[in-house]
Amino acid sequence: MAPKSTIPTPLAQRLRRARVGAIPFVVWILGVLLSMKLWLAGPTPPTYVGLATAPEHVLAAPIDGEVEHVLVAPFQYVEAGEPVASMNDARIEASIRTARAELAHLSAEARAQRAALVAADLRARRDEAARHASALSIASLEYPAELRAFHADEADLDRRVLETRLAITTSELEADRIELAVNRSRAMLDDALRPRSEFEDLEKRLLLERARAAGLREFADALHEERDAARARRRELTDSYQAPPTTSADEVDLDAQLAGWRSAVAVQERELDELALLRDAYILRAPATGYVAELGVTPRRFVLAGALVLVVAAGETNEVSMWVAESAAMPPAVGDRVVVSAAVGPAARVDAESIVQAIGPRVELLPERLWRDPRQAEYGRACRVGPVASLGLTPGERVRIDPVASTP
Amino acid sequence: MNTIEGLFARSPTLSPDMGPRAMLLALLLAFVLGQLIAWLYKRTHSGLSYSRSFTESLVLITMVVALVMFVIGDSLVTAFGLIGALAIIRFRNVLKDTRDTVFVFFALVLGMALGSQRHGPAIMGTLLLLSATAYLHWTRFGTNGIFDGHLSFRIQEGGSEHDTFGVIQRFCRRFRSLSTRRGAGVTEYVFVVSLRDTRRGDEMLRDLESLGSVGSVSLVLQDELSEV
Repeated sequence: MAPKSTIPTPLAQRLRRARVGAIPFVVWILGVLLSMKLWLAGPTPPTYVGLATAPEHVLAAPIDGEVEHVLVAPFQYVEAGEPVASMNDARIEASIRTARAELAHLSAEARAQRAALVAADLRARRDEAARHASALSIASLEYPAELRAFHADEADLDRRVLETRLAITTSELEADRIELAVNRSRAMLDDALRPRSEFEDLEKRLLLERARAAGLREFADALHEERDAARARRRELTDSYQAPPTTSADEVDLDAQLAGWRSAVAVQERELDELALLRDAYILRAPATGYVAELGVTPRRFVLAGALVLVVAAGETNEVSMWVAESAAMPPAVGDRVVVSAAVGPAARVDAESIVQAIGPRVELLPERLWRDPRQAEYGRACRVGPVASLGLTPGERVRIDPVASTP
Repeated sequence: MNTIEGLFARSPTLSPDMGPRAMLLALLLAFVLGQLIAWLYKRTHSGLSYSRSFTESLVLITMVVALVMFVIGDSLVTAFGLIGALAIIRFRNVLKDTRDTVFVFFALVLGMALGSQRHGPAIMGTLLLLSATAYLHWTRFGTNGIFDGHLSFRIQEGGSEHDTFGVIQRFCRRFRSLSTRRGAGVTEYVFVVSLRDTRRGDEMLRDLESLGSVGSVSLVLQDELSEV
């Protein structure tokens, strides 16, 4: 029997067999090739995380003390220089009152010293005038009677002028002393330590003394005029005679003798100015314009110098702090372009292109909210990215940063 | 690609790339390498407990677990949630078939992905996994059915084995001897055969019987559905 040829396999059966045999192998090969292609295409550029930052200004307590009033609330908008809190300034006020009282005392002492010197000068002049008048009266035999009378009048008027000036000085000194007593009494009256009647009595005495001094000044002015007139008559008359030389008391160098008191008063005034400046420090003012991000004090709380009072954050954010993982294969460089993306809704984001402005010099701890595992600290390098003003970010807002793929 | 990127967008961290390309690569590699595992398992399996569905499950489990890692990402909470859900399902339902377990696991992971708003991995993972499942089913992945059935016959002593095997070669693409039993003047052969044309099995039987020295010829074709 002639050998028969093999029977042909129908196409359908071939396809069924291929479905089980060849096709899986081909598909597997294709899968391997596609995997290799995807693998060799390289990793996608990394995505970084960042937090929007805004400049923050810290206000610290300048001195130890108790916070009396807090004038702002958290998240309130404040202007630079606006009062935000006040500290209890009772001590500084007491110091200022004490300094003022000391200044008044020194001023009064200086005036008293001046008055004493002037009085001594006037007495010396009066004595000299009396001696002059006496000398004139002794030598009056050699003068015509009229000239002797003119000399006597002038001398008498000189004496009366000096006495009046002495009286004025004494009265002014007394007025100063009464005024000092009035000030002390007023302070004690404010503290309810002395009765009002005592204060009112002192005020009356002060008014009387001042009125007396004013009256004496007017009298002194009149005496001056009269004396000038007498002097003029005497000169006219003595021109024709050789009058004995007269002496006059030397002018007392008041400035030199009062220099010490004046300097003491000046020192006290400077001390008072210093205390006034110090009192300004008790009013705490906002260091910058922005929002109160953190309030560290409450009323009636004692704080030490340097303690945090509040933190003001600028309202607008123009920079983002981006963190790069410590083990990043392709860390960014300064000047690299990036796209900052922020969420504005459940599925909407806004993007803005920016650049890496600076890279931190050290690896540091990431903010805890960026850790993948709350129990596992993560580290990375911080980079500054900006500007991002167009995104309208809120300080502390989380953003995504993607490097811009470089185009050939 | 921006839309797909958007589906994958979530709160970024400093974690590795979890984008669509990375996920596609991961699932594709899982599919490819899972098949290697399955083929090696099938090749080296011995005994009677071979199961085609188990072999398929090996591929699908590889892909499902890859999807799980994308769903969990770097979230410890999600990881512990998955463990808890798996434990509940495992102890509440006794799943005898491995493939059933794989699908339950897949449904669980899909639910977690959608619940944690990882829509991108959920959608891509579902599409790829279902495609792989359909493909594995269509190609009868893991099947041992390269032979169509069993052929048994007896040759009288003095009969021509050469002619008999010639007929078999003409009708069968492949055949392999299962057993040979020699008795009183008769040799009984049992072969597993792969017919060139399954419709012409009867013709092969008639040709064998026409040889004269061949008797008790029978051909048993196995049903596809009989394979587990």
